[in-house]
Amino acid sequence: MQLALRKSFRGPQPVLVVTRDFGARRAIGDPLSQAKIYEAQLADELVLVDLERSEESWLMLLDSVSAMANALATPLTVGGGIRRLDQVQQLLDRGADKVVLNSGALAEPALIDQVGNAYGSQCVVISIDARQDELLGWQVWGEGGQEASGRGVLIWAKEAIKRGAGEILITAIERDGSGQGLDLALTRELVAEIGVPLISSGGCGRAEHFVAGYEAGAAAVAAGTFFCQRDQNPMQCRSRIRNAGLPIRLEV
Amino acid sequence: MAMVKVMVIDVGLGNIGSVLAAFERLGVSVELLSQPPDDADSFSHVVLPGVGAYSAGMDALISRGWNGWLHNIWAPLHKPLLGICLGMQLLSTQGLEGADIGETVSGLNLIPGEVIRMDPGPGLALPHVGWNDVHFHNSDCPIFRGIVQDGDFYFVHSYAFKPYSAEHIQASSHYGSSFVVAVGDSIRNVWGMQFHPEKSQKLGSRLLLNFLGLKPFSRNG
Repeated sequence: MQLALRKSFRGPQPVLVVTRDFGARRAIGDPLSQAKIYEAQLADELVLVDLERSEESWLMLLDSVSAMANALATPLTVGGGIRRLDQVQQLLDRGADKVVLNSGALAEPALIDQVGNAYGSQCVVISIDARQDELLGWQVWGEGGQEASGRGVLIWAKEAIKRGAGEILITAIERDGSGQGLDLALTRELVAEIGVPLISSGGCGRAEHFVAGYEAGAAAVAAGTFFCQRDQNPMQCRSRIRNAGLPIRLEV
Repeated sequence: MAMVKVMVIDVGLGNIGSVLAAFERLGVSVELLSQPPDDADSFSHVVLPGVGAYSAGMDALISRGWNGWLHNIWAPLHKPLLGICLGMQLLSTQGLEGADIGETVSGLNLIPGEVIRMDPGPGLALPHVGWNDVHFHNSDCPIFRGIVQDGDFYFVHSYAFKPYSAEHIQASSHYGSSFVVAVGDSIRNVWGMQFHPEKSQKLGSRLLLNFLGLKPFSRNG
């Protein structure tokens, strides 16, 4: 489940949002209340990303992480705006289990080594936002998916792993919020080439899309918009995945 | 029931806050200590959490005097001790993580065994991250009371504890091959969990509650 946090336009309150094509945002509600609902619905893990990536929103992110870690017994992966090692310590101190690095690692790849060496590779998730280029194939876009980094997805994923990334979170930008389904070709290509768990994200609109992601080899499938619309919730989605014959945790 | 007061050993080994919060949610009194206290009387339970490398973990415990305190002050009382994740691994005799090639790092040696890198085989990545089934071996184990067999718990690790004696193996999981995920010595009242009960939702809470229900072992009953 990918949850994104941002500052509201109306006041200094964090608001949980989902995005479409990394652009249009839809407010979902208070991050803590939503997270409690997702835990009750058996979400395996919560990924919280600060979309603002500003100094003010960082403090808000820290507060949200503290509140969630105190209230929940669900693994928390947090990122958005991490550019220095001491920020990682701040998140872990507040109860994050893993951190997500993206633009900060693109700008300074040694950040991955630093975090991996200090806290272990199990703590480091590298988020890669990808767009397909007709000539160059899948390319990495940084700064919230707004800037071409000049790196190929596969090359960057391999470098990140070599430097100490424990998991890769891949998002096909154009699928974000679309409900069309994950980019399975991208998922398969990465699974075949990397030796760490892949979280596939971007585009889940039906429970079958999760099933397809797992069948393509993803260790996990993340979604935001999917869980915020109609009556979709992680528990129903989980049952559908189980019914498709895949091993997944159910309520006990 | 005697007052429950939990001591959580905090020597800077990662995500201690979540462990603290998990006990607070259960409504018990809990205190973080980075240095060993002079006496153990005011505490009923000790928890040793941690993530990271074995050698770094032992260095941190030894430099603050926890090794001696656990052996000489706490263990003789037979009061319950729980190691979580790296904290569980440190209960062992020796570990390989962070040691020079061909060498090992000495552990707390409260449950005899060694900690070695997992070898899940082709196609399975390390670290082993995520939810996995936990199969307990002894239905009388007080730690697993009321826990469903093969229930899911949350894991993040690359090394696993291999006890020298099968009697200390309380539960196992499968990732490429079987590995031990819970150890326990009911006489010494020393317990360990490779998974994170504090991150394992309802089942994890129940397990921590079971730990809080453990009493100091006494030969006189």
